Amino acid sequence: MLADSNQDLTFEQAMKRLEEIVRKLESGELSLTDSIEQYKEAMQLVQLSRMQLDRAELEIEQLVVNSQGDMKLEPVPGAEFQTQSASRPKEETE
Amino acid sequence: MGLKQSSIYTVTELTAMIRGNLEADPRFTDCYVSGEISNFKRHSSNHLYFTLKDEKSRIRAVMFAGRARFLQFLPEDGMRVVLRGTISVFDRDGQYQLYVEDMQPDGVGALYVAFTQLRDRLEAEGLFAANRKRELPAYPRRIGVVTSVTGAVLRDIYSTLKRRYPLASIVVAPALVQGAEAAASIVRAVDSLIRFSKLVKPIDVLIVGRGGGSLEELWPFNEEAVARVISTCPIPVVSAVGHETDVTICDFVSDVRAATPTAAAELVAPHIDELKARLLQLEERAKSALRWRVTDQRQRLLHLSGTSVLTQPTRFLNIHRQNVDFLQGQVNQLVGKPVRSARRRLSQAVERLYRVDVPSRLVKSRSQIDLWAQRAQQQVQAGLTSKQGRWERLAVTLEALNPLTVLRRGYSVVYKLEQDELVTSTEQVGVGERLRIRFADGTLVVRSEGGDLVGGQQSRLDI
Repeated sequence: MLADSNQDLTFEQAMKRLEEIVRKLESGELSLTDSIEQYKEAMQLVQLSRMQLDRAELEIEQLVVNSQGDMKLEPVPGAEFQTQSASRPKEETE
Repeated sequence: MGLKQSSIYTVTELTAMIRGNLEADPRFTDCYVSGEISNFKRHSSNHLYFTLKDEKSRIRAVMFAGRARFLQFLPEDGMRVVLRGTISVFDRDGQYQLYVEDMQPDGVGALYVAFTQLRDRLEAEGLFAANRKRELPAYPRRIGVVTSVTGAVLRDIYSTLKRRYPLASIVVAPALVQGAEAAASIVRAVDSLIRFSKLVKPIDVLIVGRGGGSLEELWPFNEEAVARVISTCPIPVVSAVGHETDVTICDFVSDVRAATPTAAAELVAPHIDELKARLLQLEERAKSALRWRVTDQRQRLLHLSGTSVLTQPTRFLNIHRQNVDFLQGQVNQLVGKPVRSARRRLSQAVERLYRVDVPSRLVKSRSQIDLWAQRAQQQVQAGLTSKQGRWERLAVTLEALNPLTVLRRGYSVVYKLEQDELVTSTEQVGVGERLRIRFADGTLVVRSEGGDLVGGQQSRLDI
């Protein structure tokens, strides 16, 4: 139903929406037509959330504040903090 | 041989003698010793074994689990301590040892007092109250960490989250975590993350941490400035300072206290497998809910198509027909009754009317009227007759009284002409006076001559 707007949901929002839909579906208060619509949306949310889980990759950055108070995010020094995608080429060379 | 006789002891005997000697000396009982810990070992039985040393000497020490469990800190190598204990001998090794009763980090007495005082003050302010503790977000997107970028703390947090919850991103605000500058540095780091959260991207939860250490090393986390910045932080804070046994004021003011940095990382987010399972569960629930819905609808349809309304519509009608009959009965009872009784009263009235026999009543009335009329006539007649008789009698009387009648019989009436005065006596009339005489058929005017009046005049004069 709201497939396009659901694309931008965070994992938390998607889970919340999904829980809400499942509750509604289980309550039996929806008409058959609405049930099917909601079910479609639920499956989209499941797919979206599963994709988020599968693709998730922990990021880490350090917040650096200069003397003017400007904030900037920088990589954290140390090989262990490099993200998988960044370190993957290294692994391949080994 | 003589030597042998007088003074040959077994090792056990000798050791026992030495121990007896040592234990008898009151200076070795409950003595206080200061020194530095080395070769520290915690046995699986939780007895602590270590060597206490200074620049020149060392002594072995043991602290049994029964006493060690009261320690407020975790002793470790290099730590300077003051301890209270008793000297004795461990028979098996022939080693004299210090049996430790109590131990305190050296030089931290003042810190401990400061810690207690600040803790009590902030607690009185209500900063540790349970109702101030906020819930951590279920699925944090951005996790702020205040710690040293080079320490094990960040590595532990990072590896834990990477394994358990890679959905998040970590923003580290580097801070000094020990030394005189540390408290101010921690405050700045927390502030910068609060500012980042407000201005750049929201941070869902904060972890403030450092590894284990002595009370002095952990001291920055017991400073009021740190306590204040955490207690006013708009983002929920997890405190992960030191090891399990270390307790800091930072722990008290935070929303959640984690025993270690790894525990903190586990606390702030669920495990990804858990999320996958929950997602699968929701998917299954949605599927079965829809399946149930469809089955339910189908069954309702089946049920409806099987109902007698559709299979035996006439029966359905009959039921309603019966209903109508019943309702009619009700209507009759409710509405018909008063109508019927009104109708009955009406017909009774009509019947009574018929029974009255109008013609005969009319005849009766008419004869009555006739009777009344007759009687009235009789009365009028009677009245008239009596009135007529009376009238005739009056008329006779009137006739008799009529002067004209008298005049007709030959009488006349004399009036003085001038005064129109009735003359009844001769004395009223002078000589030459003119008189008017009324006869039955008219009047005459005459003049009195005097003298020749009848004797009657005289007689009258006589009278």
